[in-house]
Amino acid sequence: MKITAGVKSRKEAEYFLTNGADEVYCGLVGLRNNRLPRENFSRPEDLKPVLELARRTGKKVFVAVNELVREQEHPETLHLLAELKELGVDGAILRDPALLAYFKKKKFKFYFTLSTLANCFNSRTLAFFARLGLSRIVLPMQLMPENAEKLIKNRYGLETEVFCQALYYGVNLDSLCTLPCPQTSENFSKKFTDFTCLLPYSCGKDVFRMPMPPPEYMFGAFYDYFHLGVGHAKVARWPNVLREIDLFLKVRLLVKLLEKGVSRKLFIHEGLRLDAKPLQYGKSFTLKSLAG
Amino acid sequence: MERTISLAPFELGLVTAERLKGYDAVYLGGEFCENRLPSPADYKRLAAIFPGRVVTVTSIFSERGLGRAADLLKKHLGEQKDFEIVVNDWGLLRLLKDKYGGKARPVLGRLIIWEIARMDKAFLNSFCREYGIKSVEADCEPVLKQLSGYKGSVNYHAPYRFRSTSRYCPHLKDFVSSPCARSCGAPVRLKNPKVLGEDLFLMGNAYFTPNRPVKHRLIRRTVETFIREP
Repeated sequence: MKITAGVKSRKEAEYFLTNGADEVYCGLVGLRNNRLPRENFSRPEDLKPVLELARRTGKKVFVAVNELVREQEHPETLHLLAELKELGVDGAILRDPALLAYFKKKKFKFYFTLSTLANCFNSRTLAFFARLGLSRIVLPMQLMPENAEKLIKNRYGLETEVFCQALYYGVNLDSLCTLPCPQTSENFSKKFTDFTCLLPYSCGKDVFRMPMPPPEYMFGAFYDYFHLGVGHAKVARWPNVLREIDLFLKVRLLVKLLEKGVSRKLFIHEGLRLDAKPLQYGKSFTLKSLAG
Repeated sequence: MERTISLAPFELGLVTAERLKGYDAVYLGGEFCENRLPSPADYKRLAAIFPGRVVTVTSIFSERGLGRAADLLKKHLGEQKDFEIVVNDWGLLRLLKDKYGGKARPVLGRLIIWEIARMDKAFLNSFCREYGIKSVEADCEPVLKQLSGYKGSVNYHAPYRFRSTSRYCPHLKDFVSSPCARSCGAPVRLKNPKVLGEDLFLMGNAYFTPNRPVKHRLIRRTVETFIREP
C-alpha cells in the first residue's frame, strides 16, 4: 500500500518524500481547492524542486483542484493543469463533474483522481464519474469496506485510496456540512473557533455528542481495505504539519504491519496501542507549517 | 403554490387522513437515511389515508441500498405513470436515466443541490435537461441565491433547514447501510449556546436548524416536515 501525503511547502514535501511517502499532493494558488490560499504553493515554478526530488526518488506529485470551479474559470484551470503536466506533475485531484466534463470535451488527458468530497458511495455513482475519465478514486471517509467491494474491484480499472479512518475520521459528511467550524463555513467572514461536530450538547438531562464508530471498528476497516486491494493510504493536508507528521508516522507503521501479514486481531490490538484517543481537529487545523 | 408534507415511512402510523387534508402531495421516504426508503407496504398504508400524489424521497445509497432502490423503481415504473422521485445520489440519477429514460420525474434533492447549485447555470440547466429534471429542492436563502438563472422550479422545505448528516447513525450506533428498526423517532433538540446562536435538531442521522417559508419567484412548492411531538 502506497502512502500519499498532503503538503503545503517544499520543505514539507521533502520531509514526506524522504521519510516514506510514495506521493505528495498540494494546492496551487489559481487552482480552486479546499484549503486556504496560505496553505497552497504560490506559483507553478515553486513546484519544480518538489518535482525534481520526486523524479530522483521515483515518486509522484499531484495537485488538488477539489472544489467546484466556475465555468468561466475552466479554460484557465485547463491551461494551468496543462502547464503543470508539462512540468512533470503526475495528476490532479478533482470533485467537480462539470470540470471533468469540460476536460473530456477538450480531450485533455491527465491522471485524474476523484476526491473523497464527491461522496461516491456506490458503483453506479462510480459509473457516473468514471465516464468522465478517472484513474483513481478516494473512497469517502464514511464508507466502510463491507460496502466498498464493488468500488475497489471496479470494472474501470480505477485505483483506490482510503484514509486511515481510525486516526482521521469526519464525524459528518464534509462536503455537505454547513455547520460552522474553523475549516469551512458558508459564512467565511464569521470566524468560528470550535468544531461544531465535536462539541457536547445538552439534550434534556443527557449530554449528546455527534457519534463516530469505535476505534476497534475503524482499525478493522483499514485492515479490511488493505486486504480488499486498496492501493493507497491518504494522509490529508492538515494546516498543522506537526500533527500531520504524527499521523503520517502512525499510518506508515500500520502499513508496515499490514505488509508483514499480521492477523486482523493483532493489527487492531497494535492500532489501539498506537492511538486510541479522540479526534482533535482543533489542533490539526491550527496553522503550523514547515516553511520553504 | 403546491403544498406538500414530508413523511418518513415509520411516521405513517402517526398521521390520519384528516391530518393530510389540504396537501397536494405527500413526500414519502427519507433524504438522509437509506433505511427510510419506502416499501410496497408503506405505499399501501399511505394510499389508505391519502388519495393524492406521492413523491418518493431517497438518500445517498450504499451498494445494498441502491439495490433496494433499483427494486423499488422496477416495481413502480412498471405500474405508475407519474413517478416523481427526489434523488440525492448520483448513482441513482444515472440509473434512472440509463434504465428508465423519461419514465420517472427526478427532482434533485437537497444533498445534490448543495453541491451543484453553485455550478454555472448553463451547465446546471443543460444537466437538468439531459436528466429530465424539472425541479430541485432547497431550504435556505444562500441556495436560492445560487439558483438564480436556473430554469426549473424550486421546492422549498420548512420549518427546518438541513445542516449536516452522518452515515453513522446516532440512534442505531452503526452505519446507515446496516438494517435498522427505524428507532430514530421524534426530533431531538440539542442545545449548546456556543453553536449558531440557535438550537440544533437531530432527526434521524441529520442535523437541522429552524427556518421559515420564504417567497421567491422560483418556488412553486412548499415541503413541510411532519413533526411528531417528542
